Amino acid sequence: MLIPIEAAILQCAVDLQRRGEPEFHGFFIAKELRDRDEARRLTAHGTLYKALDRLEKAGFVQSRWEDPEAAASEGRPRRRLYQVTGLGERVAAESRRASPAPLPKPRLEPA
Amino acid sequence: MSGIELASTVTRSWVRLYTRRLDADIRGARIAEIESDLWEHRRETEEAGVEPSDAGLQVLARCLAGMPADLAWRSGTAAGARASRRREPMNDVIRRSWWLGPAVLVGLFDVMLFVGQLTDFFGLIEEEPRVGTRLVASAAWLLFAVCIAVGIALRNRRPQRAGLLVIVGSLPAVLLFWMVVPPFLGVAAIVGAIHHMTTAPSPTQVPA
Repeated sequence: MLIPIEAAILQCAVDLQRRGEPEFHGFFIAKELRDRDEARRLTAHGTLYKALDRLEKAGFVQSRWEDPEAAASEGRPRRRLYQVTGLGERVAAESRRASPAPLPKPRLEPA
Repeated sequence: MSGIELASTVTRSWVRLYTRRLDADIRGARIAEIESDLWEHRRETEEAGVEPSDAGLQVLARCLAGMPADLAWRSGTAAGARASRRREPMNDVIRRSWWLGPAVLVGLFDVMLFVGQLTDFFGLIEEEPRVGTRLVASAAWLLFAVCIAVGIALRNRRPQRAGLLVIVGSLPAVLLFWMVVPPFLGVAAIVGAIHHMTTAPSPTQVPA
C-alpha cells in the first residue's frame, strides 16, 4: 500500500521516463514534485529519502551510484540515480486509476 | 558563514547523528545522498539568484520537517538489521551442520545392513556354510555404524578425528553404487565431514 508521497514519486518517475529521462536523483524528483504540485517548498529530506528507500525495498524503483569520474568532472558529489522498474510502472498505473490526478490549483491572476 | 552553509552544516550534523550505529554501508549511503542533495539545492538557489539566507531557511525547513521521517526510517532500518543478525546464527548452524543429516542416514543404513546380515545368518545357518563370512560382514557394518555415531558425538571436541570416523563409516555405502541413494548420501556425508575437518575451530577455541 503506497502512501501519498510514494505514489506521487512513482507517478512522477513514470512521467519522467516517458519524457525520455529514465533516471533521476533525489533533489531532481523533489523539484519535479514541487513544480508539478505548484508547491512552494521542496519535499523534506527525511520524507523524500524514506519514501525512496521504501519504494526501492518494494522493488518499484532501483538505484545505482553514478560513476565517480562523471561527478568529479562536474565538481559535485556523486548522485544516487533511481529508475522506475516494470513493477513500479504497473503499480503507478494502478495507483493513477485508483486516484486520478487532482485538477490544477486555480491561480489568482491580478486584474 | 552564510545562511545556506550554516543550514547545510546543521543538516549534515543531523544526518550523522541519526545514522549513528547503523550499518556502515547504509550510513554512508544516506550521508552521501544528503550531501548530493545539499549540493544540488545550493546550485539551484544560486542559479535562481535566491539570497543565501533564504536558501538557508529552505534547507533548514527541509531538514526540520523531515526529522520525524528520519527517525522512523532509522527505527525501521535498525530493526531490520537486528532481525537479520538474529537469523545469522541459525544460518551458521545450518552451514556448519548440514552434513549430519546424510551422516545419520548412512549410519542407519549401516545398522540396517548389520541387522540384515545377522538375520540372514540366523535364517540360513543350517544350509549356508559361509557362516563366518556373514558374521564378519555383519560385524563390519556394525563397526561402520559405530564409527559414524562416535564421529558425530566427537564433532565439536575432536573435529579431525570425528571427520575421519565419519569418512570411514560412510565409505562402504559409497562403494554400493548400484543402490543409488546410499552412495549419494555417503558422498554427501564424506564431503561434509571433510569440510568440517577443514573449517571447524580447534578444540581450544570451542567454549566448554
